[in-house]
Amino acid sequence: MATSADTPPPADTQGTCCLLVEAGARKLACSFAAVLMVGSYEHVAQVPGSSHWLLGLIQWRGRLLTVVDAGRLFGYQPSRPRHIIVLRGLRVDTALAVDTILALEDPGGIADLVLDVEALSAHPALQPGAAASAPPPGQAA
Amino acid sequence: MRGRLALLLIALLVVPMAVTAWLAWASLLGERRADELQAGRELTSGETFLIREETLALVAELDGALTGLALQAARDAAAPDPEPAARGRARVLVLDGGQDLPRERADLSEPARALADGLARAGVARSGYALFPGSAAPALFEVAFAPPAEPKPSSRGGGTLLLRAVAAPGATSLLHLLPARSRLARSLVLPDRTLVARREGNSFAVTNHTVGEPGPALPDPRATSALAPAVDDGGPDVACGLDGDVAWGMLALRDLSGAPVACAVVQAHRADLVAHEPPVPLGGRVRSGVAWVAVAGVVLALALAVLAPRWIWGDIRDSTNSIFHSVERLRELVRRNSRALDEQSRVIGSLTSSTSALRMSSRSIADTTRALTHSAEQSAWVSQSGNQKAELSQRAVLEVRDRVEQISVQMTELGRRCGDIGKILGFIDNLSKETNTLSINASIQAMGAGSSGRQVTVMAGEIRKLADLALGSTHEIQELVGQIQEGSRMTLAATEDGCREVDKCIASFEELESAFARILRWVEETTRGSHGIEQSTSRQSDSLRSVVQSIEELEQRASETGGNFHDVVAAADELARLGADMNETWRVG
Repeated sequence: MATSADTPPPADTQGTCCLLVEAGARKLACSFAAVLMVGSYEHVAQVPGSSHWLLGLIQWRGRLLTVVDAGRLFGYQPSRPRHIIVLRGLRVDTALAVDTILALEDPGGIADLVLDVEALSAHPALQPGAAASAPPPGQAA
Repeated sequence: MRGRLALLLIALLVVPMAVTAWLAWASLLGERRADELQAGRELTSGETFLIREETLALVAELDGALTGLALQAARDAAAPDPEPAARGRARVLVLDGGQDLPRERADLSEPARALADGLARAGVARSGYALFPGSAAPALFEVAFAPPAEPKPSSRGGGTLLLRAVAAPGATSLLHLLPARSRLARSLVLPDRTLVARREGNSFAVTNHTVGEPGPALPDPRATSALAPAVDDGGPDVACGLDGDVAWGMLALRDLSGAPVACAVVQAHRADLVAHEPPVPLGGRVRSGVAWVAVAGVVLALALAVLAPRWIWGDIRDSTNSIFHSVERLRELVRRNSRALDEQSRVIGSLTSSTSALRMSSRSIADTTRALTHSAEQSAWVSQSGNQKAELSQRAVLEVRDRVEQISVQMTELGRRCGDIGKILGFIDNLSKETNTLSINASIQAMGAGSSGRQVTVMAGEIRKLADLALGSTHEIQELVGQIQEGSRMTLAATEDGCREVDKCIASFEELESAFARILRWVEETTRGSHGIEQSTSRQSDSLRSVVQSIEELEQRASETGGNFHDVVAAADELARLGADMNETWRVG
């Protein structure tokens, strides 16, 4: 369900501001357009029999989010989540579980992976009812 | 040999002594026997008797004195009685025939009546002899007065006076008339007075006693010892004499206690006496016997002197030889004893030195014991002071433990406070994180607001910086708190270790205290033992001192005895030499 909060940022900010995070010993740059909100990794309810990158479900502002392991999702080491990044523009309400939020920009281009909305929307694991096993195609840094 | 010598001694000494004693006794006996013979039996025809002139004179005077007193009493009795009406008169009876006095003895009626009246007034029973004066000679009567059976209470008098005349006697007939000597409990009774003859030393006292009143003693200086045996308690009560043709007899009169009270004298003509030829004086026979005994003794002594040498001298020689041998044995024994004494002196000397050494060692033991006692006392003092110090140290350690416990408590509290700080820091940390997250979200939302969101983004960035600073400070604080907690833990651990060590130290102090107490007890026991040893050694030293003194005295006595023994040896040698000389003499003889 799209809300005002789901409204992507203006086009002049896309590609220049991103949320630099660390997950699975890798740095990921996630554009603001894809980020709805940042939160704490807590009160996650595990789902038995789910994929290994599916950490569980979380209730956020009356919405049920699917929490995925960013490191495993993108083929890295498992994360030690302390924060979640609520994504927007996806068919499924999803939140990425990351280790640390490093900065709100990537000045040095140090990110190992840049996550934009299209890449995330095309990821098969983030489709409704799908259990993705291959890393989505993304731009390598 | 001894028997013969004893016989010789008896013959030479005892026989003459026995003879002499027999002679003395015989002479005395003869003298005494002569008196008793004269006075104790009937005079036989031709027999004479001893007369003492002193006795004759005294008897005459005594007779005269008694007569005079009796006359005086009779005259007094004849005087008018001041109370004639109150007095009754006694009846006078003569025992022979129970009649009144015969007429031919009328001269006796007045004194007899006076005597009866006097006895009636006295009202007591009396018995005795009464010597009444007569025209020719005093007459002796045996008198007995019996008071009335029922005397009248208002008056006196009555009774019966019995008289029995002592017939004209011979010298000894009076003895047959009078009762035996043991029953001569009579007194010479006169009217209202009694004459008492009493012996005072060698004097014979005649006393006039008024009835009921003691009279003065009238010693008779003319009494002599010759008369005294006649009235002596141990002598004969009678004596007799011959004055011309008149023989007289005297009888001692005694009272119930046996004391002589008077003398009764009678006279008789010589013709009434029977005399005998005078016997041979006993003294002459005794003297001739003594002479023959003396002669026999001399002959016996000469015979013994002749017969004795052969067997007496032989016995003497045998005795001399045995004495010589005995002296030799004695000399040998003395020599042995002398050697033994020397050895004894030597032993005593070594004993003295040993005892002195023992005494010295005892003294050194006492000194050592005293030093030990002193050391023990010092040890006790040191132990006691050590115990006190240990107690002080224990108290200090206990205080340290208390402080350590307080520190531990404080550290625990500090740790708890650090925990509280940690919780707060955690809260602040969460707050910082939330603030950071909020600032990020604000930035994200500001991105969507366009240009107007740029300020919000800046503000969110500032807020995030502040949150980061707070988070950083919180981390620093947490690090510091962690360090403090670590330090507290280490301090607490160290404190606990310290407490354990303190406990160990306290236990050690308690053990030390008990050890000091044991040491103190041991020291006290040692001190007591040392005192006991000291006292024992002191007594031992005293005893040894007295032993040394005794040994020294013994040594001195032994030396003296040894000297005496040397003298004895010399005397024995001399005696042996004498015995050898005597033997030589016998051999030559």
